[in-house]
Amino acid sequence: MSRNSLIRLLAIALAAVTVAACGNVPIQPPAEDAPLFNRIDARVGTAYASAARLAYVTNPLMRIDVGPASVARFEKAFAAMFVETVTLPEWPPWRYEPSGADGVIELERVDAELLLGDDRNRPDAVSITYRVCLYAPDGKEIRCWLTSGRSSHQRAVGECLDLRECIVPQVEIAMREAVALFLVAAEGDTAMRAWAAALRSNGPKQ
Amino acid sequence: MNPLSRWLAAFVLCLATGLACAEHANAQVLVGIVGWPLDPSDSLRALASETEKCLTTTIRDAAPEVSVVPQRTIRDALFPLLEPATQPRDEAAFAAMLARDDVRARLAARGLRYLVAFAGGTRKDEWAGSILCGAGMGGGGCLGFMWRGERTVLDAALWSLDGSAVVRREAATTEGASIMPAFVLPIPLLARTQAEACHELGMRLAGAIRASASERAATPAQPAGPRD
Repeated sequence: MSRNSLIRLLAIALAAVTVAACGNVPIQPPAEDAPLFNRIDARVGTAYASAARLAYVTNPLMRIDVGPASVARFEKAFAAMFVETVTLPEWPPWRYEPSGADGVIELERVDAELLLGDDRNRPDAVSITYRVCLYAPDGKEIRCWLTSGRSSHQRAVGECLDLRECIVPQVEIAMREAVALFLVAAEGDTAMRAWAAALRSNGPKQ
Repeated sequence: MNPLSRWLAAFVLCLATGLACAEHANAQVLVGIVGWPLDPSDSLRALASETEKCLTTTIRDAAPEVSVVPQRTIRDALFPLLEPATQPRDEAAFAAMLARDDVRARLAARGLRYLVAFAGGTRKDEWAGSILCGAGMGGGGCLGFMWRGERTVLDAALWSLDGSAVVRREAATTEGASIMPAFVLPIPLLARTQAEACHELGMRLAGAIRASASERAATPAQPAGPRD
């Protein structure tokens, strides 16, 4: 192996190590406890659109996959909301394949934004927005929710020399906040409660 | 019963009572800690903070029988009720949240008897004074003096999870100044008001938890009645 090839190989290895170090950043999984929610007596299919599953925020230093972490949180949230949930397959789309459930709840969109500040007078800011919709089995919309969580933090001089130490918890807090707002809004939602009451009055599905 | 049997029975009773008392004294008191109300403009403190860490250490050192459950665990257990955007707005709402059956069940499942809700922070003034620095062919250096006032106010409420009520309130305030004399090199000497206030509050909370736990142990158990 020539000297040039060796140098090139070392450079590639160094670049790979650097990318690995600053690449994807994991987010802590959701808590084991189910969220507190006054459970609805319904059997609901759960779906996650690819726009939600694949969402991420990125900057030159890191990439944070917000989609999978959001899906994990919503799996917990949906399971706490309804007596029974069934994960619907990605294909065929649930709109074309009757699931036999009382309804379908879908995480349709995850929008995430990261604005890096500095350690003087510009805080770092992370915002996450979710769009979640509940549909009747025929695809008719019962209710949609758009909730946003935001987290900002003014770094002090010397704080978070590894930026991930500040940004990752902020992403987590913004996600928690958006999911929490969704759950609180859904729990008191009259349209969803009316739908659940109608299900009960119509009796069990055959 | 002959006198010897009576004496033996009394001895066994005393021994059993003594053991029970010793066991009670060593019983762990589980206390949750949570920052409330949270400042939504700096929500990074929602999962962990220096104040939480310092209070936990101080309480544990001062009252080893007290185990402090971190606020992340409490927030996870009560999710979605204690996030910065969904937290109770005032004390009445906080009490109402703690009185919810599902909340009580979650906290009871962890064996928690008390919840510490702490708040407050440090206000720092702008630096005053001045330092001049210069450099020439023969070298360089600084000359001057700067200072900055600092005030930390921390308070905490100790909530009993039996009655969803505040059993004690404690507070600590410390003031100080950071100074930076410069003679050739500037030397910052920073005030430690946050650490001092936190240590003071932690000591008071440890005492309050201990006092409240022993008051409760001394009070005979009342049969549970219907809640208002």
